[in-house]
Amino acid sequence: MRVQAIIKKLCTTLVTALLVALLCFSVMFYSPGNPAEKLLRYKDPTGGLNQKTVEMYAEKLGTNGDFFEQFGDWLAGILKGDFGISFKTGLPVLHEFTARAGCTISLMLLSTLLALVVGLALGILSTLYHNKILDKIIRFFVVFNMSVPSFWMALLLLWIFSIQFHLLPSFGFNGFSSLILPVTVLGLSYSSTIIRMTKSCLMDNLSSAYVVTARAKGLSESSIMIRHVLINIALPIITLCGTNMTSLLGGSVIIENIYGLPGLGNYLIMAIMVKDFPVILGFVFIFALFIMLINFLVDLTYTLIDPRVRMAMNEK
Amino acid sequence: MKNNKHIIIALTVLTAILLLFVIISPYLFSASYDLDMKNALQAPNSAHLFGSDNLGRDLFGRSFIGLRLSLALALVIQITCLFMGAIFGTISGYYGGVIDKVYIMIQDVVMSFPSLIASLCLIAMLGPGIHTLIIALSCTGWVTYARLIRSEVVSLKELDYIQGARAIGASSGYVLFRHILPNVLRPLIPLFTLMIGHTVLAISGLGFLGFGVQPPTAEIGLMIKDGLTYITRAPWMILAPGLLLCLYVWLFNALGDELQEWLNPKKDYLHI
Repeated sequence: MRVQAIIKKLCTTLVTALLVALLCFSVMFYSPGNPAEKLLRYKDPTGGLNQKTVEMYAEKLGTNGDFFEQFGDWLAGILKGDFGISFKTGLPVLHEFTARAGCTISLMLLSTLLALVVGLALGILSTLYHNKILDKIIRFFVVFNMSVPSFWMALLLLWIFSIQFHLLPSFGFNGFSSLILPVTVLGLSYSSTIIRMTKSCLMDNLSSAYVVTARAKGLSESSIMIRHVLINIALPIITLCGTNMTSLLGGSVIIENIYGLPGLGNYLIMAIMVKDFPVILGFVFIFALFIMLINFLVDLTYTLIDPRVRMAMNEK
Repeated sequence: MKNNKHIIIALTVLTAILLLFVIISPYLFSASYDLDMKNALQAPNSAHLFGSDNLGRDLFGRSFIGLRLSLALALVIQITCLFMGAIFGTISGYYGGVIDKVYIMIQDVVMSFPSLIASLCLIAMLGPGIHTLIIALSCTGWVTYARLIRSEVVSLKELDYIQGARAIGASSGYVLFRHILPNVLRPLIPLFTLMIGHTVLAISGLGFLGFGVQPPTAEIGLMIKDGLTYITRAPWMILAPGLLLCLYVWLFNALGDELQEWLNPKKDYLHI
């Protein structure tokens, strides 16, 4: 039964992926201007346009067919691992992607780790000191933290640590020290939701029957917390980290841009500025696939870890 | 929670006063449109509370005028999102079946894109400007409302009083507008307040990247972008407008948070 449910989920994900591809492609397809013309203007901004050259280029690029013909070509190319060629650099889009993925992935993983550590620690503290002064301070921090624009926070830290005290590099990527500021900004800004989630889950769990039983058995508060409660809140936290990944990918665009990190977001911004269509199309589609994969994995973890979901599926 | 109500009233009054200040700001600070190259890049002083920028314009006045635009845009965008979300959410939640399945598909597709990246691409395709900003942020923002409204409608429609209303022959439209929608308002009010703050941040972020409001219009993100060149000589060009933005967004978030606690203490929508 479980396998069936997973296969069903996989099928819906695939259909969604196809729809996402269709949407991405149609936005590009119906955006004003002819790609061949754009490419020609790109190569020679001052020269005039010759109708014959434009047609020749259109044939070469494969952009002279109707919508479904072109969409089919693009999709077939992707299945073969060919996302097209960048207008700007002339290199394959996939090559541009893999060359920059490492930086963004390490940024995202480290930020998630920081957000988890800060989020769990402050969430547990505010539960233990519920309605005391510490809880109120943490609650204020959470709401204030959600109100600070991440790009402003990034510039503030840059001004303090790089310009005033010359402690950390302000631009570019050379080693771990370049990642400290970006990871701090992203990690802190995504810790708010984790603090909130940790607290509300802990409050729910601490008043439930199994905790009362554990207390009645004479278990110490710390072992109840570690061995029983924290395991139970793991699932919602994993889900939250999954959904945070989506916003983290968006947030990393601005942060990479500010700190000049050679990551995917920074390159995507440059591609958008110069309207490098194959790159925009390829990157956005890969991002969407990545997010769908994360969501699929989160669902999968649920079915594998949570006995309640597993039972419900077996009954079906 | 009597305590909480006092905080809500205090926050509402504070927000109202500060909003009034923002609304009348163009009349108060009409001088901040003027260029004054003699007094460019002045540190904060009594004449320029936030200092002046590279063209000698008063940053205090410009920040308020910029904030006014952002707040107005956020309001328009959120009302559009609310309408779209209400239409999609109620129809798919109430009728279920194939309609619901199709809606879930659309929702999955929209949610597969990070909203900032999707807005950037839409703006790049349509050309930057205020109209495209509204379109892009509405296209990416409506799902939040639709999800919430759908889940509320799905749980409400099984309740006895709805079944009863249907049993005595009430039409779907009557049940929806008379019985279901008023009950959905409760979680919607805090969400709307929070999303206003969220949208103001998104607008400033896009402005900072150069894809939002275009110069010479005053907008906080754009002002911070301009300040980037002068970060060593005139850090107040970045710090002061950002601080003001934080204050206003914090007001909306704090108000939304307290409203949430008061109206739906059991559920937490903040992490949407």
